Amino acid sequence: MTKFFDNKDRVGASLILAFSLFYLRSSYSIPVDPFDAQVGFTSKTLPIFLGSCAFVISLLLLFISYLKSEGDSISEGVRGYDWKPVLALILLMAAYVTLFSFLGFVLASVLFLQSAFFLLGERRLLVSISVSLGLVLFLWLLLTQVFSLYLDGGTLYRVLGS
Amino acid sequence: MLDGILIGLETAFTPINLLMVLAGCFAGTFIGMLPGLGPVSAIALMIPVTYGLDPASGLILISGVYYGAVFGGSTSAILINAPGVSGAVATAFDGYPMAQNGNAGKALAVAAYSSFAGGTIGAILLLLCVPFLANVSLSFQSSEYFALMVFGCTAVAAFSGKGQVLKAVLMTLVGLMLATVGEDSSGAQRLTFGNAELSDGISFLLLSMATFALAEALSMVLKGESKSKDNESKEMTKVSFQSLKLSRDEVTEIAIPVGRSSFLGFLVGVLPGAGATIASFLGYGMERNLASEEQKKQFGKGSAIGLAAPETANNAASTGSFVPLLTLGIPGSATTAIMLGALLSYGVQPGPRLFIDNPAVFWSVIVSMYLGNIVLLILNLPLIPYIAKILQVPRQFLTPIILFLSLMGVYLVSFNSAELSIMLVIGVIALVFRILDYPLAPMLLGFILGGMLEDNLRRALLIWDGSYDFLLQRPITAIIMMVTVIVLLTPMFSEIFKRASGNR
Repeated sequence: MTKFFDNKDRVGASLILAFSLFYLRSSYSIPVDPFDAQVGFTSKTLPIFLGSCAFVISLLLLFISYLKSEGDSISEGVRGYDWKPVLALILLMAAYVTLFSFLGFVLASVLFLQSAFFLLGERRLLVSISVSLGLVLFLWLLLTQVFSLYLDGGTLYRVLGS
Repeated sequence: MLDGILIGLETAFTPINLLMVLAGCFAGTFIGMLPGLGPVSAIALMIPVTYGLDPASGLILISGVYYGAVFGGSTSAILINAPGVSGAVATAFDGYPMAQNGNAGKALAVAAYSSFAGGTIGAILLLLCVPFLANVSLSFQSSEYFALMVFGCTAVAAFSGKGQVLKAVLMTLVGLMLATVGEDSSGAQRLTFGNAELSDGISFLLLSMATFALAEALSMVLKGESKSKDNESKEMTKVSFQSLKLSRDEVTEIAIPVGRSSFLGFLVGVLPGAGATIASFLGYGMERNLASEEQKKQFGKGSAIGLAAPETANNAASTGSFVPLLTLGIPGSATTAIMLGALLSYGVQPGPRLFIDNPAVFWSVIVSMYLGNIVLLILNLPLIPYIAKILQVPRQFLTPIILFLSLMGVYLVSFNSAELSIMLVIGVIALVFRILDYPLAPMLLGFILGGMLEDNLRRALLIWDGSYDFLLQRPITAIIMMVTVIVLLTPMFSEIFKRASGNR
């Protein structure tokens, strides 16, 4: 089983196969305009066609990858990849996105940049704080003072302010 | 045509638009120089900035970014053997050895002059081709447009690398499928699952930022490219102003190859889907084949012709790729696909009508392309010794800043933090497909063409009373569909043919 999925084409095709099945199933429940139905082209005509094509082609790709004795191995392809910082960065971005409304643009952005610099190996605190704070404040000033855009100060700021 | 050029000159030479060309070229050069970030990412990062501008200025800025990024990509290819874009890979073949031989400045100068020549010849050819093609395509109806959209989608897939055709077709389909999310032209909500964030569909900016800028930056970290190669880059990026000069003999040596590669590059660029990468490799290959035995030995070891040919072809192809975009409204490459998305978001519909409805946009883009080339040569080249210092900025700072700017780019357009969550999810999925070697450019192309494809098909069916006969009965539609089938099937059959001959 593990060996079966140690193939780039196969895993990609399987993922798209699953997506196309889900897409096809959802496409059948799209509401149809009676006028369109008379023309023979409704809101779900193209989605069903596309979903079917993706289903057939991903199956074909799976079949071809199965016939090939050798394929692009995932384990060989990803050898030497640095997974930890990538996963940490993704989690960090998720935290940034989640906390954005609460912490506000300035605080959330400075914390995000600061943590990301640290994650990627920057240990000079003074330098990294200067870069993150400098960049965020520059953007904040540019957007709010020059372009007159409103940037949310965040729930925390409002709570503390009141 | 002369009136058009005058309109273009008038628009392009306004102070704000001149500033846009300058800013675009500089920003593009900076971004394009960063290994891993090419013109597509550079344009995606700049799109939010252009939203506050009028269409002509926005497109001029984007064109400047495009040229700047292509130029920047070549610079990093020459100085640290890290082509920022696939189109600059062939540049590194001889550019990097030249730099290693102590001729970094000369290599950069050859690249800049060749790019300028390629861009200039390309711009002249574009000037001649576009109005003619635009006039021809004015007779197009919905059925022809539908056929063209299908051709645009399949051409990209057909020009994919060996063994990539099916994957590219599949990714184009995924893009088309994503384009169906949201409200369609009849007002029906499709595949939104009751989510209000999806009722307007997936934003093009969000998708392009997630699949290119975000996934690209994460991919750099994954491959360990986020760690600085300080020792290597500091030495190689020391370029003096004096070393940027070329001798008369050197100019004579590259003049003819530059001329040839310009025409080749432009023609390849015009083909939807072929693009700068194929053009640069073809240019390199052609000059290698035409070179004398003595010159051939220099290829790969720092040949000026080997550097000039791909650089010229790649720039001429970048210009050529605007032909299908401006005349037919179909993008020939991922970069022009992003530009098409940007134009649509301004409410400007590229295609033959652009020539008539928005002559200022149409001609100013063409004129500003040429201005961009001049800016790159006159201003960017002398600044290269300073700009090259960006390659010394530690990657542990650059990568998080790219991620931050990508997220902010999307947020500042929608002011909706929920879109950032969608962007992150798409970015992670894009990273997975990048690891699995599934091309993402066809997906973006499918996504951008999807809406137009469906609208034109719907309209054609309305005109033809629900019959698909228009595919065969309208001659131009039938020809385009036939070409589509041939273009799509050729790589498959050639693969089968090769295998069959190999087995014999």
